[in-house]
Amino acid sequence: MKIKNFLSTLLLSFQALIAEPTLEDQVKAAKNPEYYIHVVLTGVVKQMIFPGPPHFLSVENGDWAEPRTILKIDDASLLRLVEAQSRVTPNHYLGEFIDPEIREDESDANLVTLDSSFTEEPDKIELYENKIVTIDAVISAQPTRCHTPFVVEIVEVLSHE
Amino acid sequence: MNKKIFVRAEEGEPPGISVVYYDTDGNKTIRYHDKNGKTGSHAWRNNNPGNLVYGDGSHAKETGYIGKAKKRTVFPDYDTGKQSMRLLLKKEFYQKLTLNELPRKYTGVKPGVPDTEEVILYRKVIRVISKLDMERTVKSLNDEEYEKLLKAMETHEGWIEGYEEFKVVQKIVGIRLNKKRTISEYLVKDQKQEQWHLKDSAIAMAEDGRLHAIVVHAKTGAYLRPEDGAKSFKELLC
Repeated sequence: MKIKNFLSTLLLSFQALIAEPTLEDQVKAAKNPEYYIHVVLTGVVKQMIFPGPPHFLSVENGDWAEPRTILKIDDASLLRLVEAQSRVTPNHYLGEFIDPEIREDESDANLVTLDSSFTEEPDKIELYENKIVTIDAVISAQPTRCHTPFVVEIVEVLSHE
Repeated sequence: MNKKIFVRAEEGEPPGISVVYYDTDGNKTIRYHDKNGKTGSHAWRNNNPGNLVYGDGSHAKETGYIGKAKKRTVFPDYDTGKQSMRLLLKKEFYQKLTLNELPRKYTGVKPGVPDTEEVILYRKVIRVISKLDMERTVKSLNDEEYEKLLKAMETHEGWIEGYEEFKVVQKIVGIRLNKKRTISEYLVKDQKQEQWHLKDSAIAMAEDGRLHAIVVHAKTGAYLRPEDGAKSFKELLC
């Protein structure tokens, strides 16, 4: 039993290091079931490269290459995503980094950055490149180097081609 | 010459390669990516040394933003942008990270995938410039060490000054009507003098962004209307 407790503690500590939801997030979620805002998305998994610093314009011309795993979502998913993100407040998970006013007509709104850090289990989403998947996702933060209007964390791949 | 104080900024045209700043006199300063043989970095164009995204805007608004361009915040000057970066990295989201972990989070590399070339170099830049122990957390740094970290990150983000153009935007201070009681001439005032311009000339100036007026393209032809909040042209009849 002691070993089990030790391993659980170790796992939680490790999770705190690698996974985005912190223990503090978990406590907040326990008090508020709506703390994480979930959305189901369907789309094609793509590997894309975006230009980073210093100009954010062209990798060929010397900008840093910033590869991202992207879900190119369908129109119905986009509407669900816009609605879900519009409900984010600063009191939700990573709410202070999320723009709740982004609409479906935003440029490249159907390109969604996939961040797998919601659980400690590797999502292996890269294995589904160019395939259609349906995922349960949690609305996530736009990090400093965000290249798409929307970012989500994968909770689970619900189905795939 | 007095330093210009910028109060508003927006993406230039075409999007992504210039930022237009408006100062307290309504004049424009445009910072270009690539013009007249000079190439300016994104951080410089936006006065945003950390290349911070706008996000939900709350951090940007709390720290003095004046606009956004290419999804990133525009600040009125370098110091304001630097302070915004300073405060952002004070958030728990970043504070808990070691300096080795920080570049992955800052550049948005998701857990479970290998480091990108950028992350590897970003770490090296932090290590070489700051000379800090990379296993320390951001939270553990004292003020002096924290500034070293910011300086190193700013170096990687790339502050490269490019070409900057100042455009005086003139004001309409009077109008003349023709026999049909439509506006035929505009009295335009720049920083030194006033001068009458025919309607077509004034429209061309407005289209070029050199006149405080909005060009309306109607079926019967183009005409000018005052900017929002400006005096009606009727009040300027000479």
